[in-house]
Amino acid sequence: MGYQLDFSKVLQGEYFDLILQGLQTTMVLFVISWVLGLILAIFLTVVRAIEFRPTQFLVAAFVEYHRNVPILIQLFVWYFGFAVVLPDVVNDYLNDIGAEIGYAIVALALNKAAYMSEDFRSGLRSIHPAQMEAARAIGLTYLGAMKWVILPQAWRLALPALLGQTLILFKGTSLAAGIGVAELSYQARYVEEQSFRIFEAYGVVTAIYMLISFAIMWASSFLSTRYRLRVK
Amino acid sequence: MIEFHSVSKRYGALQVIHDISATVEKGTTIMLCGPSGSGKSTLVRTVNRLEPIQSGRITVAGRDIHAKSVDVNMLRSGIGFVFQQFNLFPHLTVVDNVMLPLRRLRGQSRRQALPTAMLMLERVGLADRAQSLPADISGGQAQRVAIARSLILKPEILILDEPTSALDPEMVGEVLKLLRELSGGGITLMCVTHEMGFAREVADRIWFLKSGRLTFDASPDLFFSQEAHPDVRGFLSSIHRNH
Repeated sequence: MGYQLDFSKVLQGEYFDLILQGLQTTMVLFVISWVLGLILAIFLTVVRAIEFRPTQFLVAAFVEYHRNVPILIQLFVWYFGFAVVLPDVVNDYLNDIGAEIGYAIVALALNKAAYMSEDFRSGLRSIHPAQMEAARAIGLTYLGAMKWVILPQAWRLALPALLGQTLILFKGTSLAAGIGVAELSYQARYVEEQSFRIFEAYGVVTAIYMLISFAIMWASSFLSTRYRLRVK
Repeated sequence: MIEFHSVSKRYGALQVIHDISATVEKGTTIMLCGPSGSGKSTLVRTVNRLEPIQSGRITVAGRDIHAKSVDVNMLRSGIGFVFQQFNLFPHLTVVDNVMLPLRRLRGQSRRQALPTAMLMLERVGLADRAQSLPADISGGQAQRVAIARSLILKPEILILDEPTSALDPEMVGEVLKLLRELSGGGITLMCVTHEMGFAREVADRIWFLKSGRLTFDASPDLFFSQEAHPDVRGFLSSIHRNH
């Protein structure tokens, strides 16, 4: 084997710029999908908490689809499937502005919302009903009891699971490469093909993924301890 | 202060309160006792509308509390309620639990509410645990905090539903001591209890319930005498056999 490792090839110039651009796209995917996913998750949790069968069923169906179909397929459904139903004019426009990332954000956010809403729901369910009763006995309204007593406990109970979902989402952004989003793993493959520095390209990208994953894990363990709810 | 007029309540086919009529005079202490499942807890829970009733009328200070025009949250903020299981809020410190009603119902800031809450904690002997979390205090302390929380809005009525039943025996005394201090201090007190010695000592009236009926309503002297209702004498002797 005459392969000589040379990381300097991919750690400077055009190749390094491509990797940095990929990292930037990965972070955009991660942050926007996370925020949208969280907002939608809260909405789904509220809808499912309201005692009305049809809407509860819709939320349950939404959750089951996103939890039981591979994320890659969910990405394909949006990128290839949804595009078919749009008029050509719209599609041409979307392709011009680089719609892949938009589809990827939609697919990832919907997927995360399904998981996060289940985490919120289990957080809510693990609060003893007596807490609501005690809050109401004080004279708080239903919404007041939710706001001051139930939700502050629910998010603490859901926090470890939500942080776990955050890490999964971060790594999951790499699947967007499957529909051509030029994020970090997509760029790694491109750099490797252009430079023939296969090990180096994937080595650098692996190190970047690990660094950020460890940061998320560290922050998760800090936050989980800080906001742990101790119930006797 | 509180009047029950032919109050009945049922869960489906099961009748849990059976045509109860009785009066609680202002400032007096009522102890409710009787076998489990007799409807004591259900009855006291109807007073702040934690339980709806199917027929009859309950008036507090002359007002029909189950009337549509009554704001249930307003009613409850004027009636302190203490649960068997304390039900402190685990995400809040002791002092934050006590001042929650001041802040969220009276709209006071933390700064405004703090002195009142600390005074109340001193009254129950727990000022030094103000910054503790409920998970870090004993059951007896937790119940005293719950009582402090229920008194913070200066209610005219305090209802306690078996306040010492979930406590270890060595902690019962500290809670009873506090209730002894409250009783006769102007507040109208209704307390469901199995502590018969305590009931005899502090009650103005003792109510005996059996199968959803108020079988006997008497002064402590009469309640513990040979002239008491046969059901009461049977209940008391069954308790003594167990001790």
